Amino acid sequence: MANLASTSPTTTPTVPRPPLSGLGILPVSLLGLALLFATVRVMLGSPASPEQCDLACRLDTVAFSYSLLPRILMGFLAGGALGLSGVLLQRVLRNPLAEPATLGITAGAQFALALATLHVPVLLVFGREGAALLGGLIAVSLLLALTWRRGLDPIAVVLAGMMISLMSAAATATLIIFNGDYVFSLFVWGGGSLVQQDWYPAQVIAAVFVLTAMASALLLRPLAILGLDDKSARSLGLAVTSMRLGVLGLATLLASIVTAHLGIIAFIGLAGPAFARLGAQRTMGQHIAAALVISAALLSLTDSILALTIGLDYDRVPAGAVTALLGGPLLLWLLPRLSMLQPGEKPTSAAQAAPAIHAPGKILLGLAIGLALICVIGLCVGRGPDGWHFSLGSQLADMLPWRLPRLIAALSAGALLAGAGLILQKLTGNALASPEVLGIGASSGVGLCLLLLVAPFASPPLKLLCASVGAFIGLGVILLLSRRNGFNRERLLLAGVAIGAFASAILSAVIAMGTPVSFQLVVWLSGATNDITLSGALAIAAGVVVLVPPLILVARWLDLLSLGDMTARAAGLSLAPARGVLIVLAALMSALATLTVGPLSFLGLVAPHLARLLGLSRGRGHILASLALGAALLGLSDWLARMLAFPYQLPLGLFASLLSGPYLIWLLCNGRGNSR
Amino acid sequence: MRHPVAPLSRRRILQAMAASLPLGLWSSAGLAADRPKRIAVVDWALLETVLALGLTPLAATELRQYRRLSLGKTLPQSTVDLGLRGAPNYELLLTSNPDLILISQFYEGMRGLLEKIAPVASVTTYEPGSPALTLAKKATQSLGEILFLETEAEKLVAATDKTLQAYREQLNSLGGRPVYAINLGDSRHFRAFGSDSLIGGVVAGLGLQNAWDGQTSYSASAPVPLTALAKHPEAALVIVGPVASDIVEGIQRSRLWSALPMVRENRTVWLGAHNHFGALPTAIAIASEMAQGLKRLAHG
Repeated sequence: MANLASTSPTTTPTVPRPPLSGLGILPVSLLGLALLFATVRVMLGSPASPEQCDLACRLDTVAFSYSLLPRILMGFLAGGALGLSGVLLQRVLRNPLAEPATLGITAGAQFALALATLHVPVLLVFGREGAALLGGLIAVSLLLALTWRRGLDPIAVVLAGMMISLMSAAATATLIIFNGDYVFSLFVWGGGSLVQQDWYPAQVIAAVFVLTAMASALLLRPLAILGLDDKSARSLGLAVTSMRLGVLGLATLLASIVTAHLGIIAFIGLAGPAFARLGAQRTMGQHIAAALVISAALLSLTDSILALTIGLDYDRVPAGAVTALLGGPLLLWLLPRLSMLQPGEKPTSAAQAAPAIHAPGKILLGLAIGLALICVIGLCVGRGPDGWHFSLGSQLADMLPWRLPRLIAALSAGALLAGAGLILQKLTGNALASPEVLGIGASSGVGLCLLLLVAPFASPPLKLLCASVGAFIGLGVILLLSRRNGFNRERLLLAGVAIGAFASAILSAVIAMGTPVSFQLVVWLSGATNDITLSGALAIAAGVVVLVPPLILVARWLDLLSLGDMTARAAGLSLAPARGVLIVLAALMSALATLTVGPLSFLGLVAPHLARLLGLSRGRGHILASLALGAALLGLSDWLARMLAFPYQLPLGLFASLLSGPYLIWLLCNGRGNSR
Repeated sequence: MRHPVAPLSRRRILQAMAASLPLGLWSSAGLAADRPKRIAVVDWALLETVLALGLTPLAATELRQYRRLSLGKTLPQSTVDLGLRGAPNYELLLTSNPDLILISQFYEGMRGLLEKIAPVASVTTYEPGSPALTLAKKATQSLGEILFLETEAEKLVAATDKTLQAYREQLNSLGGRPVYAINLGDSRHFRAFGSDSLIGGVVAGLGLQNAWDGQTSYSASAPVPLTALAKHPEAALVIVGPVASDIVEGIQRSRLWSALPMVRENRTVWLGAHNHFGALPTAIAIASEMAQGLKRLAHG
């Protein structure tokens, strides 16, 4: 028992490094503070002397040595592991925003774990670690596949990571919805709990951490060279690609193992390296060591403060929920300091990717026919206890009150999402922008969540109001932040990602606390349209009628803005008012659609891409084609979601994201190359 | 570790009891004309109550999961599965052509849509601040009125009280220990069932002291670490299923789990998978499993 404890490393920074004095004041003082708090916890938790020990105190002794001690060590260990993972990812991707959570590694690992536990126990052959690692590696591979052609451009990487995170979250939420009571643990993991009950997880993480830290110490020189651009690195004789993949693998391993045992602990891997950069470390080794120390101290401090305050009796708030809340402000604080952003290659503007086509009319006609066909299928084809039906006449009249509202809602929400996505993509000049990725959906979710916490049975109009307010505040903050940089496109995108991360963190913290509101939020996240009424559907349709004509009127602004500020200004467009109008349109469109189908469907991202793939990349043609495609895709999704698992109905939002996610990946990997 | 429940035999006992009483003759011919026969049930607590009142529902929700519960194993195959509780398939419900739809307060949001299909009756099964067991009795009686099965409903309530009392007397002689009733969330956290929950009501009904002092605001869902069980080391531990398989593996490895006095001294009782938001049939099943388990502990 006791020697188990003593063989585990008790000091976190095991990397060979210069003495603490080389690290700067911040890491050392943070570490000191964390150690102080840890000591207080150890002293408070120490059991009475063994002579006068009754039953209760014997358990205290076990709780002390098998729960409290490993937990305190785990704070430092997991923090250090995440910090190391973050700093490695940042080095190798040359991206100061990279870390396991923003890149989707932890979400991928969590989904793999949930899937393995519930449905594919074979994946657990190599333990929880194996399943988590598999999920993490798949997430990283996706990320690389999505962004390799763009030379791992930092912004593309962060956006793609956000997308992978959202997709994994959607898939995990589907599992939760279909498994009821069996997935309670997923709520806990979502929040990332440091609670321990034996030394095994600490030993596993310690072993992986020490090995990785040693490997990184050996790789210091190549890592420093990787921080340069590829050409210089190659000329110095470095096998850049395999080196990069190797380091990415190490970082993924670290993050996956931590996720396997503790759940999702976001942003610790971002905070360490970011704060470390504040100090003036001379060498990269010092920077890595400082990052590692700061991350370890931060996680331990968070856990200690929680344990000594609201967790004194027992912990209701997992540490991961709190670190997630720190992430949003942290990202926002980092934005103005991103001087070291070194894009490998300028991303090609979305609007310039495809050739213009000569007969947009024909394509639009085809889309209209397709849309009509989907309407017919959605209304007339259904399943019953005795098989498939094609309903007409009185049979159709019976079914219409159920099918029509859903169809109208799906078509309208699809069109609205497509419109919002198109605006955001043209406005930011980035093909990966969309209401989902920029967190406008999640922001409206926070509005909804706060309402539900106050009034669990609020009425639909009140919900719409609060969700819209949330969306506006989210978008407003994004705008304020980017205005400071003169509406710099990249800053706008990153501010959106930060807001999205912050909003999602609030949502998962509330969900992790397991209140009755939790389940309502999960249902909203899933985008269920089952209970929509005809009047509700018509209200969304009215949104389309009101918001789409102005969008079509300002089609030219969109094209000009997508060509860049200089060109737009030269063509006589006054930038600020044009942007303002477009942003208000995008916010309204996404709030309305998100309330119906949840924040996760990737239609806002996919529909404008598809339109471009069909050859319509500018002007009204692009807008109309995007709207038609968005409507058609969500209409089709709704029908499929009702039919595939009949009588069980998949929530529309989740189903749409599960459908469009893989398609989007294919599109970005292949379609991009072909369309030029 | 776990032992199976036999809800079927219990229901047979109930029915036998009903038949043996002269007042409980089934032939209440005068009411038969209005009595709803084709019943669709959206809420699980009402589903088990309807079954215990002797009716077979035409359709009910999420039966794939419901059949995994101890009580769900005996559900007749003829009952149509309507899909998720949160998203019942209205088209299928319409096709099934029910003459009554039963919901609880959780599903009031769907009322408007459901009323387009058939008359809807809503029964309150859970309410913040009300002890769940008392409310379940009230719900049973309301359901009896709705279904013209008042006598059967009274019998179910009486059977619940009788079961609790019978076991209370048996347990009394054993000298009471406080009892923690929990559900394992993962291998590190549990949900406690406080005095206001249904299972807390059963604990109290059995004359046992609930070792969990806190109220659980009727949801019982906030995760609590295992160390919180150390507050009353002398207590017995009742684990209410369902328990996921990875959790069992996790706690077998856990030093803290095996050091818990109730585990080390073999004071744990594992119950089958139950609906934590159930009604009287669940209460009866849990009461008998819990009492038998505790008796076995005392004797073995």
